[in-house]
Amino acid sequence: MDQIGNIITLGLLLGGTYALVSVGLNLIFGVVRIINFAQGEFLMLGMYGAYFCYAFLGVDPYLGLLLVVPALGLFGMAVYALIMKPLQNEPIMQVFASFGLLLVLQNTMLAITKGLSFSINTPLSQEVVALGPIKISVSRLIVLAASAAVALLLGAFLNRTTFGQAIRAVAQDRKAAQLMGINVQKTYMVSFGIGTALAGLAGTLLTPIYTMSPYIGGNFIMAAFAVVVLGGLGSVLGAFIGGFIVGLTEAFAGYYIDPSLKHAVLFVIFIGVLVVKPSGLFGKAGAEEVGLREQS
Amino acid sequence: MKWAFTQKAAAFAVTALLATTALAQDKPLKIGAIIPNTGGMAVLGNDLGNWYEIAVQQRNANGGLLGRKIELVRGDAVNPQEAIAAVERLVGREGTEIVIGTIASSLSQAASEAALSNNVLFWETGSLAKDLTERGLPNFVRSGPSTVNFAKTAADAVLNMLAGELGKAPKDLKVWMEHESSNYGTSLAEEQQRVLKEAGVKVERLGHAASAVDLTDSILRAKKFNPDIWLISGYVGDTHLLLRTAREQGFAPSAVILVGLGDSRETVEAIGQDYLQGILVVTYPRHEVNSSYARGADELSALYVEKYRQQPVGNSGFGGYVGLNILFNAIEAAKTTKWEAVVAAAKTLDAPVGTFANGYGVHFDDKMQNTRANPIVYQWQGDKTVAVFPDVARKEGVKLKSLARP
Amino acid sequence: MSSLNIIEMSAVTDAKSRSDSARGVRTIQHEVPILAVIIGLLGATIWLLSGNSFALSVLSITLLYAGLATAWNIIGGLGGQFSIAHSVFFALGAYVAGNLYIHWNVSPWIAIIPAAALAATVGGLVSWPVFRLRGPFFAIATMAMTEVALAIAMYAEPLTGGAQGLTVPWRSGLQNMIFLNKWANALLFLGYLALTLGVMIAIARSKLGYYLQAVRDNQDAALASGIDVLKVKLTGMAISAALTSVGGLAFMMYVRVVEPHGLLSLFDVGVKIALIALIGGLGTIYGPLLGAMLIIPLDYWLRAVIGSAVPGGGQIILGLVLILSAMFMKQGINGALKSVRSRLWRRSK
Repeated sequence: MDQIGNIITLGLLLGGTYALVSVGLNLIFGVVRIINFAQGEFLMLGMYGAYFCYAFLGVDPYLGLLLVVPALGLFGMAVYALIMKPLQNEPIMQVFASFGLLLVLQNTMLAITKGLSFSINTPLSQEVVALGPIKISVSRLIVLAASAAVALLLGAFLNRTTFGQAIRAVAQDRKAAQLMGINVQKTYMVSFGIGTALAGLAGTLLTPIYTMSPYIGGNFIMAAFAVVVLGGLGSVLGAFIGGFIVGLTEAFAGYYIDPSLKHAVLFVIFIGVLVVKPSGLFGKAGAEEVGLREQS
Repeated sequence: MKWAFTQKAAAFAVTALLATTALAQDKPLKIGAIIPNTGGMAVLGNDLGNWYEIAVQQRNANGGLLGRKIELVRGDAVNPQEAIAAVERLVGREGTEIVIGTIASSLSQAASEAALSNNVLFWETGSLAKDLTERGLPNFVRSGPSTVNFAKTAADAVLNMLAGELGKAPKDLKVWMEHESSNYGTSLAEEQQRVLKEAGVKVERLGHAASAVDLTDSILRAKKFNPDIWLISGYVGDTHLLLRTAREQGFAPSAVILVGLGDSRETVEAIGQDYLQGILVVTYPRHEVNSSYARGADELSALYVEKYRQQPVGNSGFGGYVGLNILFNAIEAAKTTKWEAVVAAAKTLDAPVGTFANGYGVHFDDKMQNTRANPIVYQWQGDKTVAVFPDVARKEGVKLKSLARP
Repeated sequence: MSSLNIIEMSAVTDAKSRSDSARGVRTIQHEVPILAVIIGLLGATIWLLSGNSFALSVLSITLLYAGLATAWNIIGGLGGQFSIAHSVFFALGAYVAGNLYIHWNVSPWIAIIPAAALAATVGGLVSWPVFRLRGPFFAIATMAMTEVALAIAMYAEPLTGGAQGLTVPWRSGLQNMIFLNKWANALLFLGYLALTLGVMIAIARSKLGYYLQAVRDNQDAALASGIDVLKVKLTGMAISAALTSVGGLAFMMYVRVVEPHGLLSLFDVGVKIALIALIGGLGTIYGPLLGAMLIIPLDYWLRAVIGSAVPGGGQIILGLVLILSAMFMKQGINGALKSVRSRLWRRSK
């Protein structure tokens, strides 16, 4: 019990990481209703983009994100327009196309880098803040702060701006939104782009913490799905809190049970929640049916 | 005098002419290599392939093998069924007479059995699993170390070098063994734990997933145990994350030992030179080693950089270079590539530790495991790692520096 | 009773099976000769290739995946329940076979029974709570199950060998299902394919098959018409799981070295099986076979030709093939062939 402060802190920091990584997926899954298997790869591209800015342009990753995030947003929109849009009525095909995309992105990066690992080690990445006996990594704190900021901004965007409301309308009822004069395809495309841009943001902010490899996306994707489904599709607050639930679960399971079992514990709980409340903890009941009804 | 010289020169010219035409006319001697070129192992596989090619290139420049030009054919495989298919293709379609490899033990296991059913030799230069030689497959020879060699070196280092440095008897030492949870890390750690426990050391072992997003829980557990020595058997990403987290959490055991990696640019880039000072690395010999222990290692490293325009990835590929050379010797002694003869010839090879460029010797036990293939221990000093253990591997003037964590 | 029959027939004539009913309702008697011909052709291929061991090893894996995808298709294509957890049943078959063989010297042929029974039970038990989930949620839940199974496999050392996995010593002999000749291996996998195809035909042309399709096409309507949806799904899953485990068993005796990550790999097994069925044609009988014959040899060929030159090169091309197939062959190869055939038919009229 002496470590409980440490574990809770760890869980919260980890939760911030998961929340940030999942916010893009939440948007794509919740709005466009695509299981984007390749979401982890956009995160990976964000990491390599930040490294490229750091190694070749001499730019700190926190500044580099100004370049990387929009680039990934545009890339995401292109992916949607070229691959996902033609498949909009075939959800299963979209899953497989995203899986093909995953293979292409991972292996292109492998071919370019020949599999060598890269890391960024800025002075900031070694900084630690002490809260009594508890030590907190500044990089992870920044990620936590970013996840909160993104959640707030995204929430404001979805609720207060016209385009944000268009996104929500399309997520609720595509046909009705179309009848209201909303350009559904454009909305989907931009949503997808924002989703991939957010994945790129997460990647950039995570570079001071991780050593990157072409396959690092795979480390995050399953947990990201758990966050999104647990938190409730499309609910920004839900995904944010979902991140912390996942983070705290892993932290407690990792320390008190076994570090190599924490993933499994998380997924057992995940399956349990799904069975009892398929719409997730914060989703409206039946939210998981919306959109599916239109597609079947 | 002049006549003798002219005659010798003529004889030499004729022989050289005959030799080159013979080389050119004879069918090339094809050797197949099982090397993963996709997936997480691709970077090590590619490196291994490069070292094999250097060995082949050098041998060809020296007259080839059995008077024939050697040709290396690569076979990509990332799982056992692909390894089987790769062997079938290499032997059946490409006509390779021997198969060598590899990086992962499961690939070696499947490929060597496929090689047996195709009646060719399988020469293992890198995979570590004990079982590969223990199972007694008759066409299987391992020129490189097994987990047993690795464990012995790590244990030797702990008992004979570190115990003294730390001023503790073995039975008072506490070792925390952190390892990645798949076959590679688990088999290394189990063997190391077994050997250390036999010597009376208190050892606790904990596994983690190499793909874990966070390893603070492992560090907190380690802190609780409060070990003298922290031994990590992992892959690149998780080892880096462990070191960073340890620094962040103020986990500072008296000595840190990394097994198998952590001696290259990648680690300096990730951790920074300062924190690495004093950290020990158990790996294959290649660089910064006494030249009487590892003959010509520096020249070969330079050759690699010149040919491939990058640094070798760690030191395991170099073991492939040496292993292939040992195979060449065995084939020359056997005067054929038939596996029964080569195995018999390999048994007769005997060379002391320090014969080959990476400090290997050669002497196969009755399970065809090279007993003189040992890793050594390096230490981070300044901007590079230098060999510090065993004593014969140390360069002039090098000694063990402070192990204390900053 | 008769009103129920009318509704069953309506389920049959629903959009997705319209092309079948256009040719009249087909029964098992129609299918058996076709199956015999196809198996015969594949057998002849094995015989023709008997000198070429590389081609035979590729063919062996192709036939294995064709069988696995056919087994998956029962619940995934016919039943519309997109499971990505079939690697769990695959692993179960391999572990049961390996365990019984190594520790108790039980012949794999006999081990088929406990393996299939265990897989069917596990399949039913774990899918029962998640069958209430629809579409992508069911898929994600099955992915989560694969992760849990992976952790169990790594931990249960006495049963699975833990992280080091199981290794089966090489002792050739029919009773051990270990063969010296490559063609014998290929024949074994052909037998497995024949088994799965036989079961698929039997189900597709039976009431269970029609119920599965009804559930797939419109679960609410099926429920409303009195079909016990849960029972149908469970039965389909149990059969599918049992067949998949037999494939895992055969695989174990072929590679003789298995590890948790290899058996339970999401991409190499779980998704690949579904993918092959998809590309071949979901819900069709021979679609998975066609899909396997496209994907597996392509994968091995790319690995042989490009694999060693460019790291990951072969996989890039495979990924592009996947994307393009998803975009242009929505009904799978089978569907594409059918539309070509129907266009030719119309033209000749």
